[in-house]
Amino acid sequence: MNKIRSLACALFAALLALNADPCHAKEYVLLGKLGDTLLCDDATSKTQGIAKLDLYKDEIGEAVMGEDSEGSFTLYVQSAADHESYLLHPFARSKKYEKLPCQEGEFFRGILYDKKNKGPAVVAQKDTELADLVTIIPGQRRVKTDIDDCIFIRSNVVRERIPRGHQSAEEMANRFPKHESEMKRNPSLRWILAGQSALITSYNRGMPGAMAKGGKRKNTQLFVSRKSGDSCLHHNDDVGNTYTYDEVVVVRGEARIEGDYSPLKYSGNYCFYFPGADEVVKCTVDPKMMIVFTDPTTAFFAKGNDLYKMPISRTGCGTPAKFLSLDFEVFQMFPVPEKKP
Amino acid sequence: MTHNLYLDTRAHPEYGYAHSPHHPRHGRAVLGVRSLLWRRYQRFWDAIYGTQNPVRNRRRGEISCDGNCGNHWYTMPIAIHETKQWMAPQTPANSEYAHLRGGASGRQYAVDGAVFNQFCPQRYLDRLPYIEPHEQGYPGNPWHRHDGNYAGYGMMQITNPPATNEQVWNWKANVDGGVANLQAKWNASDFSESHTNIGLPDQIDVMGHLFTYDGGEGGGLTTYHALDTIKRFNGGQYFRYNPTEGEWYPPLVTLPPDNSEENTLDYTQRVMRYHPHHYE
Repeated sequence: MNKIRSLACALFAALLALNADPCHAKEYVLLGKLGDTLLCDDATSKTQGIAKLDLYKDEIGEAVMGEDSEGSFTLYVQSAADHESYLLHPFARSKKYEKLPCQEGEFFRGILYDKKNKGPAVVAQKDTELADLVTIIPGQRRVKTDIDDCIFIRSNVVRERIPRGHQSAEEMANRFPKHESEMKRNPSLRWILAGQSALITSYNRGMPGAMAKGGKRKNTQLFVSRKSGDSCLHHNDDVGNTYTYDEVVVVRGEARIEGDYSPLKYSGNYCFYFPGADEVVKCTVDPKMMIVFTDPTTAFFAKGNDLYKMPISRTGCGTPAKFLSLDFEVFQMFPVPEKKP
Repeated sequence: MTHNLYLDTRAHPEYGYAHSPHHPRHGRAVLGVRSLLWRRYQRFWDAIYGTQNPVRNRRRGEISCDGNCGNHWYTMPIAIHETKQWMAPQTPANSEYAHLRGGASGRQYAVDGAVFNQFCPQRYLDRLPYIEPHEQGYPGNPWHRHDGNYAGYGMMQITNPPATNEQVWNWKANVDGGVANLQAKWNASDFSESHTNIGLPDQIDVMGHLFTYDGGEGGGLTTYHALDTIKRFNGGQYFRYNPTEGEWYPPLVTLPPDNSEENTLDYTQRVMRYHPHHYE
């Protein structure tokens, strides 16, 4: 009897342990730099091919994931050079990338996810005409959309094209009185919308147009918690690439090691911002490691064809450990929602 | 659209459309015989069916892009590069084309005569002692090369999006398609919407042609926008703008020295080699 009881206890403890690990049994969609798309089980590290996007001498420029108007989990991607846009339903019966059709002479810039209208939002440009941010919904219908309804991890769209993509220091000072003194210290510099998730908005302060030779550039970022309105101003010696994930913002540092206007080199310095925090968490990893996804407990990095994960928290971070080797370089990872549409 | 670029076409412009169901050579592959007879009477058939390639005017000063390629002055060097012919290895190394020597095999590229090949020219086969089977073509058939999994056709080697039937068989449609593609690449370039030069180098020397942000020395033509467009025509990009920093990344291309082997030169170098500056 005692044996059965101890066995039951052990089983219960094992179940609790499984439950305690929030990453356990999570699935991710892995998107390769050249369009390979896989489904990966985090617990077993097993992968399963989904689809391959054939990009002619091009690579993925940006990608977002979200539900489409029929509630189906959809991946939206855009190529880096030609700005060709595609969508994929990873769990549909037919797993094939479909091109988002443009009108004649038109092309899309950037690909954001419009949460309100449930579709991809793009700047639809025709030759050199200015265009609005619109959401493409099935049947080629287009709806003018608002940037506040859109989410994007990072984007290659020139932000002047997006309403409120650039804001003056004065506008920002009015919106965030807590940082008024900092905004007024450099009144001529504009603030650029760097990324947005459902919970966080990130801004980068634009660089001054002219710099004295040997002048030191400082990068300044503002992270805003969209729910509570809390904000955190962060100064960085590195130039930062900002990635705004659902619950965490990550800044990958790039430094001009050989002086101003010399090529940027990744420094390996990463900063993590959690909503509501007053300070960022700083970590240093191998400079070749590129962030591909972060949730509040684990950061995922790609280095060559290997994937690494590193535990993180609001107080610090651990050491990256390799957990998967693939035959392509990962560009971005997306967690699959528990309820697969 | 006019085609002043090709001033001296041996075939009448109206014969640019080459496909004919009655063309004798279309049946040759079926017969499986390379008939010397057809070679002998090639000119005769070409005169009737217009299958000859357009030929660049030998009075080189008259070559221009007036009106037919818009901003894309590099259409002609791209067309020459994309339809270059292989010459026999015995071509003297000290010939006027010596600077075009390419590849470890010692073969050279020709710049003379019919340099715009919409169709496989007879001399292509005549001059070569041996060509690889995948490089073979039949005189009069569309000029065709494989680029990875993609097939390129005609003078502009239209690859992606794939060439239409018209663009495969009509050199005029092929050039129009190439120019439209160049315009799309021009529009897709980050220079079409970014107006800052922060982070860009002062100048880039591509085979003796100086490219700058505003195209100063090239009379406003040799801009970084043009250089980026040339690069994009072959896939990839030369420059990328960082919209959250408001400045340009360093150039994505590192140019090898001008005298490098053909296969190590960057696409922009291989194209700019055929700009008139190089052979006039």
